[in-house]
Amino acid sequence: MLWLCLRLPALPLDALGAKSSAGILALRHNNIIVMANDAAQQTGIAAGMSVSSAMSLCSTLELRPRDLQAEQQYLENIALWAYRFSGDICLCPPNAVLLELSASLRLFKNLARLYRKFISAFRRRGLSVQLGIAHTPLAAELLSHQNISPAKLVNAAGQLHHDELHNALQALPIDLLPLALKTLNTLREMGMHTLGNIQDLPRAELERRFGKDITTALAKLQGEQADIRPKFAPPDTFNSQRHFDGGLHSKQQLRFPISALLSELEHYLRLRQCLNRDLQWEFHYLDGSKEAWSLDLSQRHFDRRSLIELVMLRLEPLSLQGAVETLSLRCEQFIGNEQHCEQLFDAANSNKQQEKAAQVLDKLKLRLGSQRCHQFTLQDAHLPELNWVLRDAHTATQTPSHNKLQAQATAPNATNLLRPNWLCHPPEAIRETAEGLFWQGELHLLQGPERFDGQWWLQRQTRDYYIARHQHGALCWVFKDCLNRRWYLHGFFG
Amino acid sequence: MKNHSLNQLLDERKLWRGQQLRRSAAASDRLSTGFSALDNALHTGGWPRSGSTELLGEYGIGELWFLLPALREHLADRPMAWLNPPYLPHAPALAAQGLAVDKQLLVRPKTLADQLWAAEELLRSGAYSAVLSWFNEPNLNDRQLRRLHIAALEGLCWHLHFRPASLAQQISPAPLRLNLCAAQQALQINIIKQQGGHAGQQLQLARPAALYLQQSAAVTWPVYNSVSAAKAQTQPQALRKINLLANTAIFAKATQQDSTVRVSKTGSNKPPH
Repeated sequence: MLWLCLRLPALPLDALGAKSSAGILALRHNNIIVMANDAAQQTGIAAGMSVSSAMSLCSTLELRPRDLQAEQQYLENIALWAYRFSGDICLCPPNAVLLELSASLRLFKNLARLYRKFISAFRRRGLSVQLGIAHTPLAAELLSHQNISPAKLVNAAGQLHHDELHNALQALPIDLLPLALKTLNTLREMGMHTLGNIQDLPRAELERRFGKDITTALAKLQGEQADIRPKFAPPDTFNSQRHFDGGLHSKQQLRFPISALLSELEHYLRLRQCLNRDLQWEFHYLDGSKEAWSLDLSQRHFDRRSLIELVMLRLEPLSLQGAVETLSLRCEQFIGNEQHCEQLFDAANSNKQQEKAAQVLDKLKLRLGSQRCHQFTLQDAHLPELNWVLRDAHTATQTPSHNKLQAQATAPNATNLLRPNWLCHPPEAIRETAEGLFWQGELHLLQGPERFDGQWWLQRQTRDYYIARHQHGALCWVFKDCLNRRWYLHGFFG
Repeated sequence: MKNHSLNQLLDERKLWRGQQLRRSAAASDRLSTGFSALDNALHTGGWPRSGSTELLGEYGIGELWFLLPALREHLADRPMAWLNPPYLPHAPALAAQGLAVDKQLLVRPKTLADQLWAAEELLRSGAYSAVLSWFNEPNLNDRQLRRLHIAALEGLCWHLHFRPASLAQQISPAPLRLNLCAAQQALQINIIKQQGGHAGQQLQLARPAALYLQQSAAVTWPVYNSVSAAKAQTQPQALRKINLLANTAIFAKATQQDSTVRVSKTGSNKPPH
């Protein structure tokens, strides 16, 4: 087992997004300064001071209340990010995340590489991070306070240097141990300042004097006792937002936050190995009002670039009601990723085609509305306008065998019947005069009739169908409704 | 000097040699139309695989029927799309003729702007092998037509652009333009323009005879009164045309079941069968 602890000492400040503001800033909680940024520390403000003494040190100090909920959320985000490196993640509130790395070493080949990835990722985000690495979670947690470079404790292949690790642990101050304050005070009064001092003492005597807690902690530290912690799992729904100070006024400005949110979503989907079926966006305006809009998707792969275009297309008809202060994205419907196996010849190609078709269909539905895109489905019914339906287009894959069945079912009875390629629906009335039938010109009956009689269970329809030749040469499919004795045009042999 | 300027023009692609084009077009894979007469009339020996093809004419004269062999071929590869057709494509009939139902998409945008946009998206996507399009405003300008053609080339999509015959005289960037009209039991095709050589070929494709055949003998046909019958006799070429009048009942089967229907032929009443 190899545990890495990522500790964010400045988490309360990071969670507020206040790091970038260069002013003198401190966080307070119950009238006590909890954390001060660098500028504030230079003026002498330190954690633990009362607010009034801090104010007396620096009159321009900006005070903000500590937001514990935001901190928790932030820590979970870090854990979600770390989830890409290991499947075994534990949250260690208030400000650390533990990763089990021995299983990931094979994937990332080299611990040094992994380690550099962490450092560069945190540096990019402007976060300060302390790392601790050890063979037990508790040891890693404690070592992370000291910020000892993992390179000293472990070699590239992930094998711990036990001597160095032992020395590092021995040197740990006892304040870090998860023990009651009273126990710690007593230990300190006894002259024990480092972990090494305690470990030298006999366990049984320690337990008799200080209770079970201390021996449990020591056993967990050494790995003699299992340290079972709740595992972190990605949340079931994706929920993320971007906050803009002062608000955004134009849609073009929204493009970048949208892209950032989508890339966050992309990562989330990769972690969960699933695909989202919807995107639920919400604008929070500066005046407090909200506007929600959503987007349904039918694609098979998450493609951020095409998705951005789609979202911008969806945005086009919307008009912003004011300055957007917060943009939030929520996804609730997910489906499992299709495990498609690449085939050598034609299937891989057709997969790509289907993907393209899904993309263009999404676009069309978005701009035109789904009621304007249709696909056909055959039905068993007597009347020509009922034996097929238009359904809203979607890109569900039917199994090919099913298609074949469908084709076979329809083919035999249809080959010997003459059916028009065009259908007028609803049928157009034909004018009937003494000279014959008129519909934008004369109609001459060529052949027929073919009787349709059915639907007596709803409203009986009795029709006699004829093929007629139009004055201009077109072949029309006309029928006489035997019940009301009127003629209708129902199709063309196109 | 003259030669030089000619070469220059050829280099600038303002001029091209028709025969070269024909050879290159024939070399690239073409799609047989399914009718040898039409294959012979086209210099490339078949339909183009991509780009715009204009079909000018009315509806109901066989304009879909003569495309079916090619469309069947296309559907084996990728789906096809109907963009704003004037009537509904009758899916069962098309399925019976080999166009798979689930491989067709019907898009009906309302406005011309939406139609043009949708056409371009469909053509360019590369997901569709053929797009059959009609537009609310058939008289598109050169720029719009060219955009569609280029989109079709990019998406390797066959764009079948149906337009009214009145636009035959107008210039169009589509490399292949056919004028379609109905002839006696056939579809008359006039090639207005085609790449790789002269145009102006005319041919007729006979439509399926079943469409023009009478199913039943004239004896069992519905009623016509003496006036129209007399008319029919005077017009021997109209032997297949029957005027049906408003107040008469109609068809043979009904007469067998319903003796109240009067069937008359050449003026004399005949008892029902």
